[in-house]
Amino acid sequence: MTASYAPCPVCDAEVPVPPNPVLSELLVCESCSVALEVRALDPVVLDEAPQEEEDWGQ
Amino acid sequence: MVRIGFLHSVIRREEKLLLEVLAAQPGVEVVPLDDRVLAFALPGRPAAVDLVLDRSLTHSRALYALRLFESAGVRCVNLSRAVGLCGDKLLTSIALAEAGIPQPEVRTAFTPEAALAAIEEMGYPVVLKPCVGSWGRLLAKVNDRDAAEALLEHKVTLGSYQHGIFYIQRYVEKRGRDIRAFVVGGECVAAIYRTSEHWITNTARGGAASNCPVNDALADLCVRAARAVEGDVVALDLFEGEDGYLVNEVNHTMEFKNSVAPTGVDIPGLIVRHVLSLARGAEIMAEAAHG
Repeated sequence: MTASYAPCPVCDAEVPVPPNPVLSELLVCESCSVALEVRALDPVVLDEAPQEEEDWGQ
Repeated sequence: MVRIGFLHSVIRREEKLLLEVLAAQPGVEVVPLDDRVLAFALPGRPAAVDLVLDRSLTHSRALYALRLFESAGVRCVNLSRAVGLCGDKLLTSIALAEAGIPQPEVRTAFTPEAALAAIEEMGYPVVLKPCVGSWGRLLAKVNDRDAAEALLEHKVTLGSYQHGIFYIQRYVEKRGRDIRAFVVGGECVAAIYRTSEHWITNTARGGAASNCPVNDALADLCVRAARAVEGDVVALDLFEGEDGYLVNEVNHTMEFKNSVAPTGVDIPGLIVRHVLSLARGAEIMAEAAHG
């Protein structure tokens, strides 16, 4: 399987996209460590993930 | 065809594992419900689903969204009542106490002065926790009066009104580890030890996970505690006290990605199996109601 990549919207590094990505999937840019979210699938578009809020958790 | 509403925010490893298991089930359609785009009208059902599985990161959105779905006759996992109880540490402690579940000593107070008096009466150290919060955020181990006075003032001055509800827990010496146990559909299916040199052992904060064999005492306590908060699918954090297990917290949107490998238990598979059994029951009842 060919690895796919999408550009990081913060540092423009190529971020590896895992197999079978889904909308809203959380990824982390290994270059700048920012949390990213999959916003579109074909092609994969990444945007910054929302910041953690006080009531986030499990 | 069973339609499972999947309530979510961002999709983490746990959510993706659940989606993969759901996608592999015959006769199941997954309806994504992003809590950032949902809008509700009363009365009404925002999506035609047989059951909603809550995997939202956001406690407040999940609580209200689930209650709205329930109002429209949709079974939710977990129930909004369970989310309301588990999402608030004080309400959890009250439910556990009412059910006779052993837990660390807890006191609560509504002013810094009353909280300080309660802490002094308990003796140091204690742990101050926000009622709503997770992942070890804003937990404070209070070792002496000086720290207590400073923390209480900071919480009142810098925090929202919720930080003026002081949840005070007696510090339990964990000897480097605590237990996280998983209950799915009334059965304790797995448990891990969370080991850390830090007094906060959350795996989100670097605690290491290893298998914890589930004995009868642990299983019985966890199932009773899950029942006390009306939880279908919950994870319990427990301390190993001198006189037995103590239930520290109950989590309603449990994280499990670090627990599947050490336990060898297919936790997402068990969650999906339970959800589908409930959904198929709801579907049959809906069909009967409509003739």
